[in-house]
Amino acid sequence: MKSRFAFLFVLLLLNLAFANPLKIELEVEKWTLKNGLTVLLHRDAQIPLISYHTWYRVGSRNEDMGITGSAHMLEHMMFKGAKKYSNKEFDRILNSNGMINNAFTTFDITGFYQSLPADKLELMMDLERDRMSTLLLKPQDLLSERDVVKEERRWRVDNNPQALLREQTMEVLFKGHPYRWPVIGYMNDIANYDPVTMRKFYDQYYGPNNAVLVLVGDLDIQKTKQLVEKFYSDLTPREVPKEKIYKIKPLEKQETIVLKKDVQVPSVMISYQSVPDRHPDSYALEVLAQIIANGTSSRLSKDLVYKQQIANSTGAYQWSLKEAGLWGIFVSLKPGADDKKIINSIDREIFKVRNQLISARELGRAKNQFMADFIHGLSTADAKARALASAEIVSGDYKTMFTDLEKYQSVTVQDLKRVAKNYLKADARVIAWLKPQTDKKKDSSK
Amino acid sequence: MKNLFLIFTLFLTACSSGQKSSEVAEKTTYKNERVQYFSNGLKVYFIQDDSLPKIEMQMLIPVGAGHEPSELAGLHSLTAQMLDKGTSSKTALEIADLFADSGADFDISAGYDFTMTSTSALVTEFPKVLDLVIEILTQPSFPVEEINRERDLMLVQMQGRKDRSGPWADYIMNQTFYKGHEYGQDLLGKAETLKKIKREDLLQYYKKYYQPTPSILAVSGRLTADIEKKIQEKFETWKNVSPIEKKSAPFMAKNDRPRKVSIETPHKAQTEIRIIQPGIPRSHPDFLKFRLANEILGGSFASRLNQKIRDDLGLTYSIYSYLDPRASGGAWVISTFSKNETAEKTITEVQSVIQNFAKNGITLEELNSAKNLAKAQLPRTLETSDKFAYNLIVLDYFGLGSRYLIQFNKSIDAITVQEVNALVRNYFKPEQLEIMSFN
Repeated sequence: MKSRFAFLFVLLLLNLAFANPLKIELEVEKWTLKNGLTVLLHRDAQIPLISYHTWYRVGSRNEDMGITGSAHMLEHMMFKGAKKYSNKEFDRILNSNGMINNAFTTFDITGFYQSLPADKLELMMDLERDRMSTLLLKPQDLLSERDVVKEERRWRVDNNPQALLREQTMEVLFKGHPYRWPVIGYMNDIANYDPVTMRKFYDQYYGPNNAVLVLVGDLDIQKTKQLVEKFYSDLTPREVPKEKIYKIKPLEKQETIVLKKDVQVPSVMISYQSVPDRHPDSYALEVLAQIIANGTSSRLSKDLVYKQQIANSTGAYQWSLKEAGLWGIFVSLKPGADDKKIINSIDREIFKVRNQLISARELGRAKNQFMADFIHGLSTADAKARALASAEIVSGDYKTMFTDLEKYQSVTVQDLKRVAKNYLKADARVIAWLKPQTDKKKDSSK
Repeated sequence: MKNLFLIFTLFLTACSSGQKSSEVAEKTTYKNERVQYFSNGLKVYFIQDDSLPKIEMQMLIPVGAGHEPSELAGLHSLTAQMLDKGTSSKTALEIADLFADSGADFDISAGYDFTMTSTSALVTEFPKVLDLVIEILTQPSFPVEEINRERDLMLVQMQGRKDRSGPWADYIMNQTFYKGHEYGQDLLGKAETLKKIKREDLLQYYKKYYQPTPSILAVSGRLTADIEKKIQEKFETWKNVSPIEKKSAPFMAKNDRPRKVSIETPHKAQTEIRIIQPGIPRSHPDFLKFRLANEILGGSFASRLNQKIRDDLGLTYSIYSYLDPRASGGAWVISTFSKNETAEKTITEVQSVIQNFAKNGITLEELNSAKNLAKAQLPRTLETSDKFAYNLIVLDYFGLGSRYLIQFNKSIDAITVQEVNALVRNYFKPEQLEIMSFN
């Protein structure tokens, strides 16, 4: 299926009689190969480089208990050699040809990306095609890379009290769903990965029909289309397992976690079950987070940091995953701050947004901040590629990155009150405290 | 995610006053800039970039940690943080609300060599934001209650330093290596000196050091003649008081320190490791050669350290080395971590890689690879107008002049294996490494 979208997005913020000064144009060539690979190309020749993104629709949500972190482990193994380009050659070839690269894994997605000189496009395609089709997964490489991932877990989670607290919060918030375990996996599982499991995971999920390829940069569109066909069209599609249906157990009471560690500055995270990506309420929930706790002029910052001086900083977020979401508040506390005073102050603000309309000025401010973030977020070829890949893989249509902006702009003060009432319930949330350890005994309790 | 921090910053670019844009475009910057001096001596770079509807302003004010009296340690940072906490006509919250209303960002950071402000706004909001920035810059009021608030936040920041192992290790390494020099000062000050600072101290420090000459401003984005005119009018209201004296003394690393120390840290699941030795100042003629040598040893995924310590031995998730070049000296640093049981082995293996590097130098193949990477990825570090602007003004500050960027590829191409190996022999001294482990 081939189609061409010339997309012109005109932002609707200003009532101007002349050309809108906030107009952004992105012309994108999109088509799908016969084997199911979705391809997006956008020419941006400001610099002679190309951002090359290959994202797969697989993440920790596709794992089972006992093999948690497999998607992340496989991301690491993708750098350990395939049939044509063996282990170590990958990075060496990239660097010697002026390319840099990295990768990431989330609950829903695994992505690989490179920045390369425009004249190295064929080489990059050959490298990515090689590992999309013939990954080696040698047992000795898996053994060594397991140790690397164990070190990563110690660094990211075990030696980082905030991350440990987040991990414990997710376990309570997403009972019944794979989102409850960490993307990096549990240490016991990491220590026991085997080549057979990795191979099965690779064979199921790393095919062209489960991937989105996005190239942004100094491209000749027609030539690039031919190259994509040349390098990718003969790859065989995989039998991607049908996604399992999970039901998240709704929170029925307030749960409290207290993690005591050797820290000087305490903090608290309050999390509510909310909605997944692209849910109609997700936009209002994001705007609400901005108004309540993001930035010096947010409500909680003014109250806790500025007026009462019992906190150092505040933040809030709507975190939208593919099948679920969470809405959270984070507060870094002054040492010795009274727990009850903190919770009461937060609850007072939540009560207000549940029962009173937010001012038009606060709403306008939040919308302006979204607009500015959106525009700044398209500053580089890599950022554009990332935005296109994200929108395409989440919604199946990259154009949602623009229509989503309209949805933020159309949020009303009534919407904010409604979502606050529907999702921010005191009897269905997780309050997670990080507190200084008062004695030398390790004390971490739920 | 494969974690390795490619240190591409301070590739730093420059095009000077009068540089023809066509010449620049043919070389490596891909942006056009013009230089102008306002009537108060403020040097201004205008960088036209119509790709997105936004305007950014970055300003380098050459006031660093060396200007701060030691008995008032913390004054340098507190002055910077107080700039947007009240003016003659607006309170701190009114300022925060006005920036937020416009969706604009304003930030100020006080560093060891200089202080940097950065502002970002949509074109439609820029005139309002410009007015606010000028008011902050020229009429800060330093209200006492705001000083107390900010001071309390800095004290908590000091207290919370140990809460994260990596930043704590970096902090201790910096304090230890630069001890006795202004670069070893704590930018947050000390609890006892911070408490002594009065409003008059802030006012005096501000008047003495926040001046248009010799500050450097860069404005980038969707500019028009009207906007540029307004910027000039506004910034010309900022007046000089007296010439600023430069304070920074050259840094000389002392040789009488212990070479290996173990430092206790609260989080025990892993040992953070830092290895440091003297480097060079940013303006040193060997900078590019040092950069290439570092690239080969620890600057990328394909580097010797990463291949050996991570890929072959699985001892860590991340190992990288970087240059920390400052105005009056510098350091070369390796940063890694490993579980407690293998921390010693990691240190031994790293030392072995460095010894081999110092003894045998680099190969032509390695040098060519490092050169290709440096040249190919340079445009990425200059891709956005704000990154380009930042590099312009920082290069200007370091006195590297207009030719640096234009000659970048040529300079890289001219470097030979023999030159890099001479540099390796001269600077990489395995016996002088300071090794710090935090567990």
